[in-house]
Amino acid sequence: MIAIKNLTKVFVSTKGEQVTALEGLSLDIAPHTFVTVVGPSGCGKTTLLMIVAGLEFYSEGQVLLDGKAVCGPSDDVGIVFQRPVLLPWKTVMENTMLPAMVRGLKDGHYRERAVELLRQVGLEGFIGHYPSELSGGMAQRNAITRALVLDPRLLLMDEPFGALDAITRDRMMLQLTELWESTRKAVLFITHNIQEAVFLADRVIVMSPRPGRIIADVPVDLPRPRDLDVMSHPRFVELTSRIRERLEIGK
Amino acid sequence: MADSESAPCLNTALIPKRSMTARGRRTRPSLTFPVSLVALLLLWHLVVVGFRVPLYILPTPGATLVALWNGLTANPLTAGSLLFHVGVTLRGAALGFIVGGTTGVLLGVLIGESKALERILMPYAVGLQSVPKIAIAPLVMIWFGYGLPSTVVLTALLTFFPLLINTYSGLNVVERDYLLLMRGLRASRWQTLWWVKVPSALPMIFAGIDLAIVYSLLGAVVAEFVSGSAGIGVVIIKYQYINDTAGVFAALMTLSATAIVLHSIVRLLERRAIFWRKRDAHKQITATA
Ligand SMILES: Nc1ncnc2c1ncn2[C@@H]1O[C@H](COP(=O)(O)OP(=O)(O)OP(=O)(O)O)[C@@H](O)[C@H]1O
Ligand SMILES: [Mg+2]
Repeated sequence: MIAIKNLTKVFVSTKGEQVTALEGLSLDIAPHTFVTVVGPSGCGKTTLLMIVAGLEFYSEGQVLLDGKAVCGPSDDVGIVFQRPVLLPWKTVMENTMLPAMVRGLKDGHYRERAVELLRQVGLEGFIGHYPSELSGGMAQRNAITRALVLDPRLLLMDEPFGALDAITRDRMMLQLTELWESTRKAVLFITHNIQEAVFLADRVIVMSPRPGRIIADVPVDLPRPRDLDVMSHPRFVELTSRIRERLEIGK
Repeated sequence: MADSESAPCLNTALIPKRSMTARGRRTRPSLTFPVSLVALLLLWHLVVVGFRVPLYILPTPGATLVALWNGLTANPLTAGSLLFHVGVTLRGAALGFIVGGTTGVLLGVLIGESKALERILMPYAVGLQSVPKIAIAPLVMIWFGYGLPSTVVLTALLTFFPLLINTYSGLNVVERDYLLLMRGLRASRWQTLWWVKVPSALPMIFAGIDLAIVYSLLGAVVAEFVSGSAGIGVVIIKYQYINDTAGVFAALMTLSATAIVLHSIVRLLERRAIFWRKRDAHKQITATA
């Protein structure tokens, strides 16, 4: 699905200094797999996601989406940003429909799909409401339905639950696994919460501090479907401590 | 007050904050404003009478109210009526506002959207904006003659700049995340402008409209000072000429009342247009020339 080879990204800061955000990073993501990326703040996680999304240039290397070089945003990719970025002057439904509206696809099929997605994330009662009436978690769920409405094959998520409280975060994690188990899209999910990374993932990628490189690639062999009880599973505990160790060594 | 003392503490804590502030807001001004107004009028009267100020320097509130009453109750089709003159001033102001405001918004959008146009036109816009437009009034008279055309041109000039500048900067303060979102969706330039940038710019555009409303009245009155045959500006000059200061006061009050009404209409429209904004955000007030 995605093949990243030797990716390097150098920013030139406003002062003219060169900042190497990513260095020689290689990563393959197979279809239908949930891949999470953990790493310290500033290690280039957002940069990586933006490059895969086609929203950021890269300096060296190769990024292929289904064998074709990424050189711009694609309908096959849905993006959920760190903040919900909902348009406050559009309703929940209109925000979900935004990608379809941009394509001029306002027919019944997409409306039904939008309603179904909103139902799956528990927002069916808020279809006509405006984003200012939503809580942080609800707003982020609205953003997830927007990323899914065109049925992309790859979903990119940049710390979507980073701003939420622990209880809401748990609920969102659970809902996301359920959603994923019913759709099985390829997902690249960025987080700096190790538990979240393990709970959601088939594979956890651990990144080093800047310049970002991959320092561990940990397969998660926990059974699915998963519920919150998985977190007390000995294997879960073992995996999280192994990743924590890797992050420590990385420092 | 006695109520809140005898009521258990829990009760006040249970009252939702919003209803409390809403009540506080509604009751307090409705009492304080009339009281302070009466006090002010009384003070005014005492100053005039106590210091024996001549009526042509400062008329008493009573004399002003009589002049206002006479002006407002006169047949509105005759030159003795303040309403007639307000009508004339409003016509000039409105025409100039429509011409100047629309061009300002449209050009603001064009400059905001096109880097090339921005580079060509922005220096002129900034340069011309700093010219005190009122000072051009006599020149406008020379070019456009006496009466309505000059009024419209001067008013248009005055209203054009606040809307040009506010539209342009409004389109430029859009949150980067929205633009990234739209780019990720491969939205067209037009879609991004229409769905994201224009709604984001609305608060700034309305602030510009608010400013332009006052400027349009200012422009119309100054044009009338210089060359008009009717309108509030003419009334003010006429009363000043015959030392009828009460008449000048009455004319100024009518003009201010008109401005307040127009301002309220703009606020109402703004609240409708920017329906998603929190209520308190509408409370800021801008000073005008
Ligand atoms: N536009 C830019 N210009 C210059 N440097 C940048 C730019 N964007 C990011 N960087 C730098 O690149 C590095 C990686 O940034 P990035 O946002 O990808 O980090 P991150 O891993 O997402 O961090 P966080 O977990 O805090 O979100 C940082 O050191 C940052 O300063
Ligand atoms: Mg980030």
